[in-house]
Amino acid sequence: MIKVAVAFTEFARLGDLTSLEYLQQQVASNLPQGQAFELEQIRLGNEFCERLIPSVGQIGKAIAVADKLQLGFALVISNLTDRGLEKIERILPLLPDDSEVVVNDWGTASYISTAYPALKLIAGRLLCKHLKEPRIATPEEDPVVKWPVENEYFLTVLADLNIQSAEVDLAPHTRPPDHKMEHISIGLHLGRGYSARSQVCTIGSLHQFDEDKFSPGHQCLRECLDYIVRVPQLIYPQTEQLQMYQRGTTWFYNYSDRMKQSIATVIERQSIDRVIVSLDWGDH
Amino acid sequence: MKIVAPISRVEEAAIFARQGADELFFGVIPQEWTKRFGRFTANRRSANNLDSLADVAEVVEQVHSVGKRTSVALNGTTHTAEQAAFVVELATALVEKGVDALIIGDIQVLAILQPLQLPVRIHISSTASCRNVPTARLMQKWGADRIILPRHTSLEEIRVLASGVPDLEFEAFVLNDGCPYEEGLCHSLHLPTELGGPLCFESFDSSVERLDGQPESADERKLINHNAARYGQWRWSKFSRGFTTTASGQPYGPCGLCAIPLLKEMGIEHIKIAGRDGNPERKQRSLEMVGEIAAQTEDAVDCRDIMHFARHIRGEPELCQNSDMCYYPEVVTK
Repeated sequence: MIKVAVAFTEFARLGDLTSLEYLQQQVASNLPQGQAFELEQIRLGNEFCERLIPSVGQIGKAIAVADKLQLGFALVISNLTDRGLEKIERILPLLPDDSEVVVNDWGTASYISTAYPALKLIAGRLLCKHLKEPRIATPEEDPVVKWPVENEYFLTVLADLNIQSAEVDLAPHTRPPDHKMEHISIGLHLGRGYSARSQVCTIGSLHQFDEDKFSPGHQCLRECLDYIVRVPQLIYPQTEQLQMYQRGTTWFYNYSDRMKQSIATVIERQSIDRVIVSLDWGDH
Repeated sequence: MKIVAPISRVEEAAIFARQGADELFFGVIPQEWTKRFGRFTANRRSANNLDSLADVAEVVEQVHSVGKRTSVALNGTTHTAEQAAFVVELATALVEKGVDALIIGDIQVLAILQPLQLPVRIHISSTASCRNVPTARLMQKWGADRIILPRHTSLEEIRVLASGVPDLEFEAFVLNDGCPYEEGLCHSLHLPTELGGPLCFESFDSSVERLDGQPESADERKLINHNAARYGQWRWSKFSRGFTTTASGQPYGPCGLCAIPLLKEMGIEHIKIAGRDGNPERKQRSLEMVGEIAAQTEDAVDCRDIMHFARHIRGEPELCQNSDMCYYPEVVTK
């Protein structure tokens, strides 16, 4: 049985979050058919943009829902500027002890591990870097890439920051470990991976004056929650088609059928401890 | 201020060091690396690297002979355990050749190097995406002497970082490298053209759609189309106006020349000319442009006069009417 976290970017878009049955249906449709699972956590926030840090009000509502459904809670944050750090300083005190926080830069990890030792840190996928090139999806021609969590020195860094969990994507060329990892709990994002992130946001510039568009740290109206940039068809013929799209600052690719099938094997081998299902960040 | 400039050939070292560069940075990929790891690069560039440690030794000797420094890019963002071990071996060999600093992009490599206490400075690459004070402090704890700030960092963000860790050196981009993505968070490859080229060129059709499936209104579509056109123009400008130069060979950008006095005020002493891939003439023109502005800044010329000079340095001041070419657009827009 695999443990599952369901992730949302914004409380207003949580769907029928108050219904456990709804959440379980959503999870089941993202997992290999018939896969047994245990829904254990609700997450709020976003890994890719600090402008999507949840408000105090949203955090309070999400924690209340998690309590009601007897699920754990996790806050998700992107890599942060100092301005972003100021924002999370307002919400971290609201988190119940033993909540998890998905961090995506080393400094934020260091700050939280010192200032809030009761919170459990997860190294997000912006920290667990590996090649993710959706345009060379022909398995036999791919370079083989392992997750960084298999490297002892990466684990040393995590241990130094009191981080015992890490999260990763599948890439066409990923070769996951064939056994359960010691000393680290691994979460795998289902459905899609990310390939490249920008510090400026194309769609987030939509309502900005021309002179303010695409500047570092520019304002936005969270247009990423309303629009998607699609690449209509895969540009380069490959043996497996990975649909690419852009949400906000980030290019994503959907897992191919082959990659989805491999998830069942990964779960069976216990190479991963948890899967993450993003429900409002789009199943496109 | 200290100018950090790129080289990709041994013969560029002495010339650029004499022409005003204070520190020369370069990559080196020994044949053994290519044999073992193929297209994965140790420093974000698969070409325009020095080929051997003998070349490194020659560069170091030439640069040191005129009292300047060298730094070597070992700034891949991710490595297998095998690759990381090789990078550390290479780092040790580079130190033996006398290089002054290693530019590190992967936290794992830093973790291996730190206990070795090699007699060399450690510069944290822009690819390590250091964007906040706690990260800078952590890097310092792990041995960093300098942080190279990532592209797309605002002047206010730089001010907060520099004042937050005043005993750490910072280096800021001022010319030449303008990918729209964050280098440390890009996990794609610069593929051959027939496979699509670099992802950041976005050489494919794309369309903006509403997530709720509703059709866009006419006004909404107009706004989307305008935004897409502006983005195309911005991206083209960021790629040095389609990888062109002025008639006299000066690069267009991205450019932070008029921000140099402001960076100086914030305590940023090291300014970076990017573009290891550029040809020698482009590098030389870049050095002349940055050198002139840095000299005026050191001479305490009025900030407004420096900005005026910077905007006219290419003889095309109209290009600075908007901020598309700017590393620090707030200098123009605010």
